[in-house]
Amino acid sequence: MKFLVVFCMLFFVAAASPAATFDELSTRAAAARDANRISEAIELYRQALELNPKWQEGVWFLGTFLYQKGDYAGAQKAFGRFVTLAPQAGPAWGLLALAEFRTGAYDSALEHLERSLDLKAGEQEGIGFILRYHHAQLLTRAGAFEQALRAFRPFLQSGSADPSLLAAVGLAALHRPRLVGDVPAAELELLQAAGKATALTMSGRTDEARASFADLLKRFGGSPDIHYLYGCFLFPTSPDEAIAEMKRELAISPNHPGASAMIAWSLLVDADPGAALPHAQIAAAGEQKSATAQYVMGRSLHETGRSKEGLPYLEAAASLDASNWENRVALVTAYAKLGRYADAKRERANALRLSAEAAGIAQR
Amino acid sequence: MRSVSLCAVLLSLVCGGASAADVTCATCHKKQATSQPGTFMAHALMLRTYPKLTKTLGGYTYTVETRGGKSTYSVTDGVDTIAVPIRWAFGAKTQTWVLERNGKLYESLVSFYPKVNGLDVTMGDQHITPTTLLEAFGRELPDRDVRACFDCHATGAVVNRQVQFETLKPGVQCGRCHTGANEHLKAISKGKSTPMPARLGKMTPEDTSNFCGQCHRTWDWVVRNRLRGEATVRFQPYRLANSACYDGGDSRISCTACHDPHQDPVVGSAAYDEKCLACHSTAAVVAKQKMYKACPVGKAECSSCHMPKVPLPGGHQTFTDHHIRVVKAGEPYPN
Repeated sequence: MKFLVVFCMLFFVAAASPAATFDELSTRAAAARDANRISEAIELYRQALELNPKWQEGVWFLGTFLYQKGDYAGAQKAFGRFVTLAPQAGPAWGLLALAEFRTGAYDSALEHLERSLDLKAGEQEGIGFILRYHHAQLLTRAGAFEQALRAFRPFLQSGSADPSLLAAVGLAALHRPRLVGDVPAAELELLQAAGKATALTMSGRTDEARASFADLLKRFGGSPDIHYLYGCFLFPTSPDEAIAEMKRELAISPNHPGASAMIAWSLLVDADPGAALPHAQIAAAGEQKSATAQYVMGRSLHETGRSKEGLPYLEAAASLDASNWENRVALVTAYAKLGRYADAKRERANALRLSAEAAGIAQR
Repeated sequence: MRSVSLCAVLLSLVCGGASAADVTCATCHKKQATSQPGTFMAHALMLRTYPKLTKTLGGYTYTVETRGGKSTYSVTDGVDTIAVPIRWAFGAKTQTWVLERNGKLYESLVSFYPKVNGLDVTMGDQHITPTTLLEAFGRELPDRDVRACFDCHATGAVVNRQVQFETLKPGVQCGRCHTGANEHLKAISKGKSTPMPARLGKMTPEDTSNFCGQCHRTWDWVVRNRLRGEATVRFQPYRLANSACYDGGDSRISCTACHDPHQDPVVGSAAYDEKCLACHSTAAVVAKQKMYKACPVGKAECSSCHMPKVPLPGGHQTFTDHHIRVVKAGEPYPN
């Protein structure tokens, strides 16, 4: 909170020349602000804004002080007003989203956070961290689990064992579209254990992750999603074992979209798209915001001769995970099959560039 | 109906006099059926005889030889030896063996290279450092690799995703590419024209690339398998697709625009000049086709500059790079 006030003060420089009465009110508001008389400052900013509704500095400080006082609905209104005056102000979109998060307006909070991050607010020291963390949580709540895990990744590099963070990561890893605050206390232990194993995997501490998964399976092996998560851990190095885990998951949770997607993927790798298709259908229907689910569905359709039907799924996958070169490769094949050679050529270049970046190789 | 009847009449004239038992692909497709059996592709799975060949790698010594009409592959660490008969030899020139041992199939860890007239590490296996005699013997092949090997090097090899070891025909024969050729032959022998195999010549360049790429590797297969560097030079459909001039819909640039699949590739750059000049020419637009910039340097042997020969790492041979481009001195191999 203290940070927000400091941030807000730094954000603004001198305002435009006001009229006399407005000048007096704004001067008094600034004095109240500097003296940390927050309630008085709020009232003075309100009065000044009645005289000059387009006074950006006034709207900004009104919003931040209302947020500081816990009046999130008021802050939401003020920041909403601010972004109409300064639509390119990334931090303002971020603060609007944080206020919306507090009032439970999660869908618009996610939308406005993404706008804020698009405007590079996530790169600003201090507030960037807060915005990105909320973004990751809201992605989980929206069912965009793969994107959420990518968003959590920077928070895991330090090896943080914060229980709330681990629970949040656990929710994303187990594909549970909720916020940590909405989770019953009885579930937290499982989520934290799953989050810990996932965090260790994502930070490259493979041996510790393996031990953590052994513990997770021992304690919660009969719960839904656990075998799926373990299968994801195994997939890069032991695909056959991974698929066995996915099948164990389906025995516990029939029609599990994530496990179905991974089985479909394995069958596609094995050049058996006909067998992959039914699994892909379950995956795509169950997880519309999963790039993997959309990808396997699109590829299964395309590779069984239904390219026109498959293309929208592949385009959705590429949109959900724009940096993934495999999505682009699939798009190339579908576009080419449909005679859209210019699109195929464009995506071919994208796929090569992205795969080179993923491999850490500088492309000519 | 009328055209089908006419077709049957023509067929009876073309194939006239041939009894059902006599009808072969060559009866009607004489040119292709005469040249194709002599190609390298037709000999893609060919047993041959070997003089005694030996190679020592690490602590293991390999021996391949033919005695009494039977070829064997063996490896020893000086104490123990694994020796098996050679049943499957992959490749018309360079040869790698798929070996059976205790019900499993292995890719031999050494291969025969004509250029050195001897054995060396199988291409792609250079990263393997065997720690046991069995690892030195070869790389155990998963089912999908076994299917892929035989599906490309034999005809009728894979049915319902199972390799038909007893009935497959070694090498690429008519039916490998022309699916339904057997049914077509049976129909012809009865004076019928249908069913007809798919007309491969009608495929788009993109589909042709993917068709040939079943074995020569498609663009997406190479990318998905994260293959990079000079090792990709032998995957021509991948390399071609990376060319700036590749379109996918322009029939002037496709596998079959330059190569007749019923013959071995023509050797010599000059033979391909007319293919390049079909697009890169100052001549007037031909049949409304888009023309591209003419080469400011030369008008002959285009591929000698624009499709350089690249040594295949570990392969003891060079391949023509099908990534058609303006090659600049000292530039790295483009992926």
